[in-house]
Amino acid sequence: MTDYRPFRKNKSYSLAGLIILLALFLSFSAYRDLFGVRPAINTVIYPFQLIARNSWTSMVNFPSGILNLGNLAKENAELKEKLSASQAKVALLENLPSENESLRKTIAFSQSGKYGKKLLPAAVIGGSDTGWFSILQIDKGSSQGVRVGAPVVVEEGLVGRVVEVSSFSAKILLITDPASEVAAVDQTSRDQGVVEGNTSSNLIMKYVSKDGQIEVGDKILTSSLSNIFPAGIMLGTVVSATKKEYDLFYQIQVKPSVPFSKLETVFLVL
Amino acid sequence: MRWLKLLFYSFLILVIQTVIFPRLNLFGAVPDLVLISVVVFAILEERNRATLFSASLGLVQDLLSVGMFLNTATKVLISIIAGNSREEFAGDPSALAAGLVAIFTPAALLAEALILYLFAHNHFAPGSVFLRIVLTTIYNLILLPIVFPLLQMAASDE
Repeated sequence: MTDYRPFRKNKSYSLAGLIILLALFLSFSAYRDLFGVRPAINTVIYPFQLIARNSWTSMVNFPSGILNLGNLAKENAELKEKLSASQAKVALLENLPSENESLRKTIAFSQSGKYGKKLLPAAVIGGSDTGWFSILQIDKGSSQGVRVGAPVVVEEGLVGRVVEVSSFSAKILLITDPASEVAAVDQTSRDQGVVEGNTSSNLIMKYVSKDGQIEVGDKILTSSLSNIFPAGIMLGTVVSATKKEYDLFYQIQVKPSVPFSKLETVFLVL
Repeated sequence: MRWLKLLFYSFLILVIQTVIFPRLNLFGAVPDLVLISVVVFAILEERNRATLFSASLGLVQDLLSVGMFLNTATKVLISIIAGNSREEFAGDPSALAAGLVAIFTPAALLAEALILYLFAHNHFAPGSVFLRIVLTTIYNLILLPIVFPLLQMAASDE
């Protein structure tokens, strides 16, 4: 027993070493999608992700539902005391205008033909499972006409672009990801630069010449120099802009206009 | 039956990891159920099985993400070191698991950040990386007491 233990140990390490080397090789090779395995895995897991997403949404909304029921019961008791049926109707109708307005805005935005193209609404079903990539997964894929590179927007501005598509879902690289680069322009001074993601909550705008006129509070939009994104989509607002004597470029921080942590519906520009 | 249970467990944690946990994102920190599972499995099981388990989970985790196969490499490495630590450790396995999760979470995140910085030229703000490492480690340590008995149950022959 003792005699073959060292051999078994070496064999185990060989297996692990082989897997690690293979993983590193694949990481930097052109075979990252493993000959179609990546989209296939995404397609297989998609229905379960959808179920999990819906269950999670119901679970999160459950306490507020209970809270609303409590409010309704209280309200009902008050109404019984007052014996006024009309007041109950008013209370019930109170939430409808805002809900109506929100739905109207969503429909209007998707039908607006903004950016001169068709906007396809998509629900967010998941996100990056590790902290290093800022990715969202949506419930629209190649079967709905989604293609790699399609810009993704919401009413507040640019969300990112599609980087991977499977039959019924797609992955969006957010503009906050360190790998994201967007050609940008200052709305006021028209200075051009490149907006990059960062692990912090702000974006970084690079390559703006220090001769430029960037001010805190300026709006930053996508530039017409971009081959991927339509021009004029809001990226964010300048929160700090400094230039040192020996620097060639400004150091600019931009607060994104999109509330990334609250995204539930996005629009694909097709 | 045992492998069926393990398959179901793996599937479940991958769905939770990709759907639920991104919604718990706190300053970029997301719990890593796969890392916890790999550590626990390496403590409970023989090395070759643990290596295959960690490689499979890491690979699927990478396939569900984008870009590189960092999880496959780091998870296999973690599994090997955790397995070796178990052979040298005589105390309570759950205490060993807690210690290893506390060490491997920051180590794996630092290694991944370094690889992304060196090879993918991603730039990270040091303050936010530190915060992310601390929060992810806390998240993982909180989840460990839930994952340990679950995986123990899934890996048992009964």
